[in-house]
Amino acid sequence: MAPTLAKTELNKTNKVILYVVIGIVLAVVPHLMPNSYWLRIYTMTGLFVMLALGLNVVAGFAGLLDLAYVAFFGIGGYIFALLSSNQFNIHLPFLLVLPLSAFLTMGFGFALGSTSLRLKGDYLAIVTLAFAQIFKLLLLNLDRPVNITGGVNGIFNLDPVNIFGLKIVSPVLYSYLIWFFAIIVVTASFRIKKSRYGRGWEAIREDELAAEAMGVNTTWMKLMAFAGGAFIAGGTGVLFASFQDSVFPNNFDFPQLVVVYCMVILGGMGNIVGVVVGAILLSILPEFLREYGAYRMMSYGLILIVLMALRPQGILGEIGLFTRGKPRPDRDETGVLKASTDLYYGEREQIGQLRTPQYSMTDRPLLELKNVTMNFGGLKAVDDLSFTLHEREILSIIGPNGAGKTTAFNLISGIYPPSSGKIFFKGADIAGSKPHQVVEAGIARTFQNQRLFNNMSVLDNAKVSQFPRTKSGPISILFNFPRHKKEEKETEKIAKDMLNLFGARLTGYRFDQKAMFLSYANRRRLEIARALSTNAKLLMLDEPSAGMNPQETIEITNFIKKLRDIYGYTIIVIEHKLNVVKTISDRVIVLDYGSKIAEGGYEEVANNKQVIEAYLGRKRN
Amino acid sequence: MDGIPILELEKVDTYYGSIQALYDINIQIYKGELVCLLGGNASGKSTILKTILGVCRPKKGAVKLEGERIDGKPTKYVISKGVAIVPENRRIFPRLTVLENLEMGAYLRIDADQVKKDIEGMLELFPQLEKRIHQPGITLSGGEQQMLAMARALLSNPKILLMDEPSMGLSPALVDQQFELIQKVNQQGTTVFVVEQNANMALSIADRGYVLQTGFIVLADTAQNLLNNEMMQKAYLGGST
Amino acid sequence: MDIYLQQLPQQLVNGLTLGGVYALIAIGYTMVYGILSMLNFAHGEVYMIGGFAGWWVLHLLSRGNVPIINASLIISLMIIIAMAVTGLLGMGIERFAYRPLRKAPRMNLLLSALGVSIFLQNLVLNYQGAKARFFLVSSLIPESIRVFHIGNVVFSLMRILVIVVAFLLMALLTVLIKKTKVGKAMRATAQDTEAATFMGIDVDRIIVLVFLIGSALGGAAGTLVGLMFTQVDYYVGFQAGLKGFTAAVLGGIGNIFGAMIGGIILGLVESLATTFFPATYKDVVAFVILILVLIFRPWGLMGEKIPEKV
Repeated sequence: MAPTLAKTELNKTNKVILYVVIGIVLAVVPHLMPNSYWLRIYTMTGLFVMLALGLNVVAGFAGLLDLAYVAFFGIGGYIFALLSSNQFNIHLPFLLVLPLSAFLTMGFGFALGSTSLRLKGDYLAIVTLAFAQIFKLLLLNLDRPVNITGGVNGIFNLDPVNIFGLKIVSPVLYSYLIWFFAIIVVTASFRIKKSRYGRGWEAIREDELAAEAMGVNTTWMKLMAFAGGAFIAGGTGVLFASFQDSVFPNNFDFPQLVVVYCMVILGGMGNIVGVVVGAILLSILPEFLREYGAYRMMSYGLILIVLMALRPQGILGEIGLFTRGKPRPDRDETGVLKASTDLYYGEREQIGQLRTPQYSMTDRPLLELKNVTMNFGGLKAVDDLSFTLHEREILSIIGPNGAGKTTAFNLISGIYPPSSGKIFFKGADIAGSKPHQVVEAGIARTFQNQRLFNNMSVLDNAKVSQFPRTKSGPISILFNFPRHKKEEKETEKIAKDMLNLFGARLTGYRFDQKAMFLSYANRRRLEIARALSTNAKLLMLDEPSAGMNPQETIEITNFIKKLRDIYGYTIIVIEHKLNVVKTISDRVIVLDYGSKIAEGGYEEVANNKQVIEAYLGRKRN
Repeated sequence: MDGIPILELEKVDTYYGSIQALYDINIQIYKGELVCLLGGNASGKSTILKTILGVCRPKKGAVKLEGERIDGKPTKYVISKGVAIVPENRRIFPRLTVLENLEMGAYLRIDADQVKKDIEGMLELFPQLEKRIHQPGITLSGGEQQMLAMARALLSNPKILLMDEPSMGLSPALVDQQFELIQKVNQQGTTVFVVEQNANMALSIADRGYVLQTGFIVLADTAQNLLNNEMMQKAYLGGST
Repeated sequence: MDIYLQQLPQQLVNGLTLGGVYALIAIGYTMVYGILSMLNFAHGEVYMIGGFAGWWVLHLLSRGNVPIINASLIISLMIIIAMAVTGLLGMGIERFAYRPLRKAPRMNLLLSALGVSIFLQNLVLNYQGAKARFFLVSSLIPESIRVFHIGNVVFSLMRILVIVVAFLLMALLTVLIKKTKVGKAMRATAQDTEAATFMGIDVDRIIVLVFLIGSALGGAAGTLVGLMFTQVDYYVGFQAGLKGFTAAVLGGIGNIFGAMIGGIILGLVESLATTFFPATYKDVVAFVILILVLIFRPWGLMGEKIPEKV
């Protein structure tokens, strides 16, 4: 029995009650602290909660290992110190500096993020680490010849906070201020996670290429992840600087980075509640073990090692990294799979019954390939390929292994540009476009070796594809504007409609099931549903029936026909099972060694000597 | 055929997690034979090789090398017992020289002097390789890489040579050359098991063949019979029912 | 301009010394990356522990400030024991922190490496203190030959020693990987791990060996630097690690000769830079090089572009 995600959807009344309760708790707790030391810990915990949630955006949601994160914290802090102190005798009010600092830091986030575009994983981590080092060096050395940063002594005696006449000076007031913002950040985190941004980031973390192929503008989203994290860190920096009434270089150094990372990882990357719990735990626990304080950093190191080896998804992690020991159906090799014994569901024509077949192939060209060639360093994977696809046509591409079929798909969907040739879609040349742009134009595809977002639910997998069709930005999302609510409703509706086409297999309780726990055949179906959710006009299906048993194959075959007959899609299919090809195709193209060797109706092509030879192999001389 | 088979798969079922990939596979290969395993995409060909090499462990059944069970044993053990493979796309070490590639083939052997002699023998057999003896593998032409991969595999003095889709990624002319090479090697006494997609080519040099389709052996016969078999075409093109 | 020219030979010598050390550290990174495609973030700390090991050998073999046995014997022992200690440490790290993660996503590996790095750094901080340890090299080498002049250039014997040892170790490594069977197996495994298993090569053992050698060389570097700059503390691993990594990337990550060349180039560039920039900023040189290389030519000087497979 595959575990389901625990989804706690609060309705409006519950939400209000929750906030009231939290408000009361936050109002009371500071007064329950036994002494000022513990009050300080309480306040620092609030700061860490915010810091951890900011890191959660860039590392948890988007999966980008930003080791410069603590530098953004520092930038925020130092900006406040420079703009609200005697350092340069600038005394901007707190309410101005806080957002100013956050936005300025966000700018740095964008800048650093732009370096991430070309770098993956390890390299990104090291480059960001290098930037963090440079930042620290600058902090330490920019006190000569002009004293900007105060060097190793930092800057102190910062301006007191004044909010509309209320002077925030006492520790209790600070704790209110900081936890107030902490709650805002928590709320914002939940909102952004449930939005197209959250889904887009998670998709990128799962499989960047597939995310791009489902219409997510990965470049923009990665920048936004860095920027978002930096924004929060920058704002938190201001609060911290004000609270400490000073900033020093070693407030923003490697040990702090490590602590924040441990908080996020311990709680479960991407899991907001987990991260908050992790932040609270790691803020408070060390205080109880203060006699072992010297071993604190060592413990953090050990925590990281052990967590990664034994429980990388963290203590609460439902959204997490790979768990050891769980079955990994997505790691199966392609082409040799047999579908598991899936109950044969009768054809449940919930929507289809109400509609009759009305579409067939037209003679209007939709997609045209003109002399497309793809050269991989001397090897011509696709050789001068030309063909025209008409609206509402079902075209099958067949050929032996290595004939260039998937390469053709990759060229059309923008994974890489062709070495030469043109690809016209609806009259415009899309050759060389980025995958998400191709999706926006109206082409969607599935992958031969299944690139589902394994840790995301079935429903979320389908929702991701609506990314290019929706426009809500961070502001709409964070403030829950009507536009955002409307788009979310629509997204959900479309996703559910597409999943519904497959009947009970992908609906109901399955909506919340993680994709990795689906049976093999259902995973293939989800791939198609996900592609359908892009509102595409042209569908490219790469071996949709691979590994399915005869019954499932018949079902999917009929389904593909239905997609065109009832819903009017134009479809290109790569297939190996010729009975499938026979049933669905208006036309068949045969590729061998990258070239088209035959084109026509199924019967014509199947009896073509050259084709038969290509499949069975050339005879020996 | 007499004696125990050099390589035998007996009632083998292999799974990937909960998904079954091979069903009741029975294959025997006797000394000196050239046997081919045919199948299109998604047939299970590579799973068979992985099962033999110990990369996959069969859930049921046994894999025997000259009667001794090797199923479930680590790859290193299987290789040491006398199985050699020319992998798909040949996989010569690109930045090792021709000579170093050959030396790797003989990695598990301890008779250094004999290895030297055998290498010299290989170079006589493949004079093109001798010309490029100190050049890195990646500078060799496609045909030369074929020869190198073969020679490398033979240097371990294997009891049986496995070939994984030797025609893959090769131009038609090279495919001819490749199969000539395999035939030559077999004629000199090496037992060969070729896993292939190109049925015509494989059957033209093989003694016997098995046809695999979605994890089942659907045909097993002499090469001659298979070539003339009408069902071959149907079974082979993946058309089911 | 003349002043700069005068300093040139001196800086060249300094550059070569630094370069040799950076090369040794870089080799450790590049070897591990070549085989496992992972960045062993903890390598810098291994280097640092090598320095401490060397210090302890010197300390234990000295009474007061005076070594009790022959100086060249002590120095040899320092290096050898440092290499042994760090070699074993590297093997331990591989076994307990990395091997369980062989099939895990890359991010997990990197975070684990980060964890090892933090653990080791603070382990040393806790048990050896934050204060720097000083190598009493003055007692090792008699005053008369400690420094000598050739023309305008001042040579310190210790630096010459470091250059010699570093290049000797590199030469030995080169012989190992080029001429020995196991060295070739290492290269084969790095180039194509699966094909290597088909040759019967025990890939797990090769990986252990790679960590052993890479870490030992890092440890040697740690002791050599201690001898050269006369001090070591718990924090040196961080900087040295970043620099060694920069050198590895500069030369082409995964390429052992690239690591050697990258190290030497980095050492020379850094030395020459100190003639133009204030000393506190000299570390920035390495970081800037790193960032530029990773953004514009991530495969380094001797590496190859590897496209992603779809």
